[in-house]
Amino acid sequence: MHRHAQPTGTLPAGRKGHASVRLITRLARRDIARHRARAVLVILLIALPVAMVSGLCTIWSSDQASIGSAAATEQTFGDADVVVGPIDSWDGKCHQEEHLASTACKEAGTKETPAADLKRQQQALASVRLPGVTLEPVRTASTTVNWRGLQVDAVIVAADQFKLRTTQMTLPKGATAMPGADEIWISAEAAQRYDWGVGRTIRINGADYKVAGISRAGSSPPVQIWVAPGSPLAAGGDLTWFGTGRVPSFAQAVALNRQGLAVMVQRNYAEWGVGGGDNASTVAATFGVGALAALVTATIAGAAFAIGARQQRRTLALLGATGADRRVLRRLVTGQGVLLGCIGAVLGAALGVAYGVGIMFWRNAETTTYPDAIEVSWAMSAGAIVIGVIAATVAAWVPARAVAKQDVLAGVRSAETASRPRAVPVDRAGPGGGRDRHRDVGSGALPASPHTPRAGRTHRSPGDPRRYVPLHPDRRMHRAALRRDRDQPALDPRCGGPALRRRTPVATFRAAGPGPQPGPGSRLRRRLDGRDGAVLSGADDGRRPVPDGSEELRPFPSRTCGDRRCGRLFPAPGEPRDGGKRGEGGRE
Amino acid sequence: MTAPTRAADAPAVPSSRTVLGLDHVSRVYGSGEQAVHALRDVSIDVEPGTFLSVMGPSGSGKSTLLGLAGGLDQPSEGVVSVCGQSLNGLSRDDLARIRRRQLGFIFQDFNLVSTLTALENIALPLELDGVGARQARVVAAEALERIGLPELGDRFIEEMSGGQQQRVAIGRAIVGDRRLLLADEPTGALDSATGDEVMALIRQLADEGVAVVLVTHEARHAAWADRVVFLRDGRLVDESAVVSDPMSLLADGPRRGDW
Repeated sequence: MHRHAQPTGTLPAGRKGHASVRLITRLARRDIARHRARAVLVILLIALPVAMVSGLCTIWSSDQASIGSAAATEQTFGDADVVVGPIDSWDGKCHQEEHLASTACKEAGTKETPAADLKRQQQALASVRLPGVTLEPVRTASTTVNWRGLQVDAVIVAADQFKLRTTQMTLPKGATAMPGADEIWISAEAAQRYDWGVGRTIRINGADYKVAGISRAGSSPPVQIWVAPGSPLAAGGDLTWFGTGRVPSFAQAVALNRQGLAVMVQRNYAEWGVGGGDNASTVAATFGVGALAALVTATIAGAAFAIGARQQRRTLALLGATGADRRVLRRLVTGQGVLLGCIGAVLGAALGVAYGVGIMFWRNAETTTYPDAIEVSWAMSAGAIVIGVIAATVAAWVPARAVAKQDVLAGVRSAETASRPRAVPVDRAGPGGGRDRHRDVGSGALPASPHTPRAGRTHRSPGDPRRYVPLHPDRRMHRAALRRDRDQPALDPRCGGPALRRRTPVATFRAAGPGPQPGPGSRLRRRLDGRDGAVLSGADDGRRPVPDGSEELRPFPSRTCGDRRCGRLFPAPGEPRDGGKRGEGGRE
Repeated sequence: MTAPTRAADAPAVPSSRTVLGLDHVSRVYGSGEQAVHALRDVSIDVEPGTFLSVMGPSGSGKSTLLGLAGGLDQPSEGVVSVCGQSLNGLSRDDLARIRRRQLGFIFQDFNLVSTLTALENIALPLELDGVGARQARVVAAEALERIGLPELGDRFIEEMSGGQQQRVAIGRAIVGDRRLLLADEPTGALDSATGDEVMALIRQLADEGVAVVLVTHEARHAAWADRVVFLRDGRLVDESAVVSDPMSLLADGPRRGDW
């Protein structure tokens, strides 16, 4: 007996004893490509809550930016670096704090400034000079507008907004200068609320003023009226100076404080002057909602992964039989979770940011107030991505654990009983025809059986609708298979066409077995039998040897086709399906 | 069908050590009155280069024997050893390591991973063992050449015929210096000509030193083996060298060694 105790292959060095991440990623990626619908479902399940959290965070961040310190600073200072105004609750002695971010006294009192001191403050303001600072006067007055029987409270601001914007406001479209003596600008909210459009005349303090422009202001009061400096509407109003240039020193501020005046510095205001919002609790609440959403997602996606893991039982059992240990099997399923989680989370974050930004744009287009800032919180979006990936990983890990524990032997056995015939293109089956139970034996002369489409993942052939080509995990290769298939001549099922080859006719009809067959009286049976009428028998089963050792399927003579070549699929009723040769080469 | 011929003038290689050993192995499923004795006190030794065929009717314990030999199942009694290593009491991960290093399975329905190409399927045991992908593919390409499909490495499984698929399964089972091939009706889904080609390949591998255990229903495939054992109701009822008329093994009636 000829035996060699030679190694059966080269034993490669460098075995680490465990599968590489690359292998696991490849298997996970291929399985995802194979089960696209499930993958899309999981991606959506992960993406939606991440998108929700990310979108809410974007809106929240934008809101925070609109009501936060930057917005408050802009509301208070406009474009000014310095504001000089009266000290609140001035007792004649107190002074500001060193940071110069508030008009209150260091030891803030509760009493209102006496009227006499208020007057002194205004008189002192009129003569304020600060070296290195360009000051613009702003007079603010309150008034009441009579409008169709309503008493509408309004605030009048007299300042040259073209020289220095004194608050958070937009300049009216097309305006190049402050309104004239008998003209006013009004806030957009007032225009909407009272139907004060451009060109309308409004009576204020006994005089008529024409609306020359509409401006969007940052905050209340809702009815604001802007006029040019020196307008009689603001006569007698409180004076405040808005300046740009060098920031006053604390000593200069203290000197002004003695006259009841305060200096506010814009660059210190954001840090000291604005009360910090409860950002921590808001962020915590957002991420709490996000975590809850992730939990829900993990639960739902877990079901999808469980289904996926169940579908993968065969592959995993085969890998187990091949030598994959439980850790590898677990990582295969969790690897899919990580991959899909990453895709879903990034997609969700992108969708969420887009959604949030879109909402902010829409809100800004709809609102009458100063447009909100649009700010994307990338950190929060990254946090949402992390939550999504963790959720997907956890969702995949639970079924991964279960499936890794499955009995390999049982998995392989169930794989064997579950395996079904699959269609392959004729030209890929190689000489001899390949597996007999493939539908390729039906190419042309043999019409496919009714259950052919269910055999494996197949795609109807573009060249011959009676043939099926397997769906290929690689799209390019699948298209190539379809192209090759299309190039083959489509054959008349009854007549004509090239001869078909098959190795063993015995197994052919047995292999057509699983799945429904046309019954003796069925329409298909009648059609097929009536077409060629010949009886398939062991003596003349329509096949003859060809030189390459395989056999050629010789079409049967037909009543309808005369001398032409015809084929048929099924034996006549009562005739053995395998032409009487069953058992010769097939298994029991 | 004629019995396959072998090279009669080939030198016999002295048996070094047992590749597969089953020592008084029994396997019982369930307990008490529900107990099912799938295998009873079976002892088999398979040496390198030995082609052993296991025959028997359905339910006789053939697949159980194969599962035990491959470490997919644990015996209720007795000892199963592969390459001198007892499989009893080993953890699942240790058994998995033995499967990927010492033995390979081939099944009736090929059971290849459909999302991988032929080359990737063959390289799979190596990659599972931590061999780098590039190196594993080089070794897999050698195995692919040995099984006669050097040009089909890039094809996916569904683009191959049944015979080609089974060859790939054989390639996967032998790649990386594995010494034991366990085949569970490898020709069951193939036509006779392709089945014979596969059997010839398995025979060739046995001649090259691989120990082969083939479970089959078909006497003509058992005829490729050096030894044939017959199981009935979990018992080893017959063991012989290849007989001139292998169909007689399937005949009814008392057998030599039946007890």
